[in-house]
Amino acid sequence: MDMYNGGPEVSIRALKKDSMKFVLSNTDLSVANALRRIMIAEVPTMAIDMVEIETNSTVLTDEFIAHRLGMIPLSSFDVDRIQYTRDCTCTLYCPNCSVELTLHVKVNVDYDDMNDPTIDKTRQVTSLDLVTSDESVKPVSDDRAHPILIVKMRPGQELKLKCVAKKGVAKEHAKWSPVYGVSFEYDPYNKLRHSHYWIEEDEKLEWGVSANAVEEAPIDPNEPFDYNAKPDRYYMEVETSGCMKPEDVALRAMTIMQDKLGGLQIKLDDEFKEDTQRWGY
Amino acid sequence: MPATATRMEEDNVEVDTGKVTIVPGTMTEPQCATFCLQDEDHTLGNALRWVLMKNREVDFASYSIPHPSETRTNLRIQTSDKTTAVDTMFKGLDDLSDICSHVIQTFQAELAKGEFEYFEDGAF
Repeated sequence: MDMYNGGPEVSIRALKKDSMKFVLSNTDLSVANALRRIMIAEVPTMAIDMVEIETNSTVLTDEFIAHRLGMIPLSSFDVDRIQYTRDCTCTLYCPNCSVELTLHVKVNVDYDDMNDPTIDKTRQVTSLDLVTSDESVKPVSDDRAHPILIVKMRPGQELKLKCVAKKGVAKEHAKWSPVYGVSFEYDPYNKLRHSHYWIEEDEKLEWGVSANAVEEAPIDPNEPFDYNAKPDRYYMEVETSGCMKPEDVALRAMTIMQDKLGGLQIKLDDEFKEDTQRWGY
Repeated sequence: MPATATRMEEDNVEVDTGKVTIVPGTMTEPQCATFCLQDEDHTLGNALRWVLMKNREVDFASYSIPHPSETRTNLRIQTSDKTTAVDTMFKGLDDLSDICSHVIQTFQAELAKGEFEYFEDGAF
């Protein structure tokens, strides 16, 4: 096919362990927006989906803790190896479609320290206390000094539970989103006049130009408004939860788009081949 | 759906859980059809609409999501006499897939080139 003026171009501006800035250009807004939407909602990751609580004498209720566990990002570099539970042959869950994580914390009462107010007896239960059955799927925490807090416990309390992490997409629940945020901007100088700024007195004073403006030529006040102009440079920044590399999220998003299109093609083939033949085309 | 389908037959069409169907009664001739895409939204609808409109043989292409609580998208295509709506749809899917491949290739090339600021950690 003709690629429509050479096809889209990508230029990576900065790459970090958990975020990436890039410019997508020479394509339509709808394609850039599709990429953004898929990165947010359709890239599969692992997240805790079922929690079996055996003992919970903490101050938080079972469902409160289950909800908090679900929100913990799990490393999903190897998520393609795991099946969706709905596609799996097992009845409930199995190692092919899930990963088990267990947690057991019991705070013993130390009678010697009990009446000493200078000793902090609060036990912080964090993502580090989760023991995974699969090393490729574990809570994201590079910084062992700041793990994710689940609940605080006092002496005598106990929490024992088993979690089942499953593969899913954020279309179903936001906990499966690989990204914390995707920033998306085009036309930083508002040449296309797609933005209508709310102002009190002066637009330039009240609304500064964004950081992406350095990539484009500033607006010429004498230039007449081009009502045929269309956006064609999209400044994007992907910040991941740490569960996947940002470049992998973007690449995976494009392959997901292709999978969707391929799926439609197969289905269309099955449904309408006969119909078109009947028409004599 | 053949054009000879009567109103009665259309009313008796069972709810299809398939991924793509033609909305009954919308394909009065092969050059036009409204496709119903199950489980799709603006992500595919808008991009597909754009790629279809890029096709010279397409007179009209548009999409809508009839109801926000139903996960389906309707895509209307009307073409010139040189082709059919279904063929155009196939071409649209192919073209968009090619664009995706191209983005993947350029992305990987760009990553391999490594001409960008790389931070092991810390803020931008």
